[in-house]
Amino acid sequence: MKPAHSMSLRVVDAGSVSALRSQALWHGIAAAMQRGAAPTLSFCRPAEPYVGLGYHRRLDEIDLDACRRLGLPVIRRQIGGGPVYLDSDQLFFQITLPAELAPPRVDHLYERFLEPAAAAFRTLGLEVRRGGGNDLAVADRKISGTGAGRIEGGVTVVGNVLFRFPHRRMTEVLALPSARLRAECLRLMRRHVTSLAAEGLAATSAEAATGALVEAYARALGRRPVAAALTASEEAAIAGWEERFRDPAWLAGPAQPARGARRIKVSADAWIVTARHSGMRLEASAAGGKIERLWLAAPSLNGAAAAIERAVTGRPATAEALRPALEPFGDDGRRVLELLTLGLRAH
Amino acid sequence: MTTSAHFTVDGYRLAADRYYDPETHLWVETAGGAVETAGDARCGFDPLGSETSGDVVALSFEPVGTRVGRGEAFGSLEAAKFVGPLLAPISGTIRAHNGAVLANPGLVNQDPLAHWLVALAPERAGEELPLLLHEPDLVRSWFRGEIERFREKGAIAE
Repeated sequence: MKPAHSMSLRVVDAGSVSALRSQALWHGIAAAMQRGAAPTLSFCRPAEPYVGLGYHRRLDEIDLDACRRLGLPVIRRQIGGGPVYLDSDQLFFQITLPAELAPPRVDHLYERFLEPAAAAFRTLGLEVRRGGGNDLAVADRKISGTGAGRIEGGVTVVGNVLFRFPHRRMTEVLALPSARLRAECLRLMRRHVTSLAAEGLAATSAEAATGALVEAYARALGRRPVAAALTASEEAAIAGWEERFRDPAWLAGPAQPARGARRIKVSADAWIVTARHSGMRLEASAAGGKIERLWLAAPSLNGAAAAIERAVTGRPATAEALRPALEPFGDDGRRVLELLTLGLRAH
Repeated sequence: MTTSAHFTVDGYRLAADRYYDPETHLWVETAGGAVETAGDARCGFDPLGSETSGDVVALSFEPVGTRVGRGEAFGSLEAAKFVGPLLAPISGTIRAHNGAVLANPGLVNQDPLAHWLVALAPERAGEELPLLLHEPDLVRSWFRGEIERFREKGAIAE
């Protein structure tokens, strides 16, 4: 006979918690996950705003002065992705399972454990689809930030429900090289990051969203949801993670080389790029697979910058498609292509 | 490090001089060759480890001088916003990082056999290297089984 938990889905709803606990909660649940344990679906909402940073990202991607000025703590998480602004207008959800139950491929992990989230959004009245592997979007508008990781014995897939999203505040906390690029980032974010309120569902409550997610995950996993409290080992692991998150060495993050280019992902199909090499500086944006804006600065261009910018704008954002447009510009065109290629590959 | 013969299993290229860890899909290459005289040992992904990891966008390693036990994390990998630990196939002290893969993590997808991650000074090579697979027929048999297993899970294409 199978143990009672073999067909259950533990549901832990921590409610409104501190910024630190909103991250430590699911890190601790994953860290305490034992082989053979039931999957756990956990929820929380941060009581105060803060900035989250992916495990491998450099701290200098965040404007720390702006964060200090705005009273926003910064917390590095042990899953991937870039800087994100988080606040009480978001419901965090996390599905955590023993590592041996996780599919061996990350794209399959997202397929299996983000599809239920997409279904929950549809229950709430939004036609959300999973696109670009781990993006949940309404048409070309992202509605949830997601990520995943293995933390000790558990694998966790995380997401959030954006009830409202302050695009300008999000762009304020990013370290960007120019006001122009910050404005461009804001423009793309407003177009490609949405929220329940922006989609006409401002009245949706956290309880309704939680209920839809519980039902969708229980159905997808074929398990019966069971409300649960944190175990002593989970509480201990959560306390350990809170301690770690307070450690400046943890915040500094693992050593990562400085890169000549940076790509800031706005959604699966919209991003901005900044790259610099040998006196040339490039800033660009792309959406729907095409370059939308490009700005170049280099003394050697001798006035050719505007012509190059025109030649590239509107072209597909691939090296193959950009090469013929840049060839007429000789060495300058080749350098621009190198920088753009560097940016396209950056993360 | 020595260069050596390669062989293929269902189209996957493997190096004959490596020790393969069936748990982590990492290889170990010893400078000395023989188990008893193994000098620094380099670790890297085998082709299935690389393929199932997805497009690697970041790697990080514990600092040089850190001691790691077999099965403990010597670093982390990120692909598609997933972060997972890199588990040491043998115990040892980290002697070096491969700066090339830190600067360009995609190299481990392009040619996993050619790009090592870290070099370790093994602590118990005599005990632990025999736990890995080295003899070509054993490697072939295990790797063929793993290909089948991953195919059944839909993790790799037919």
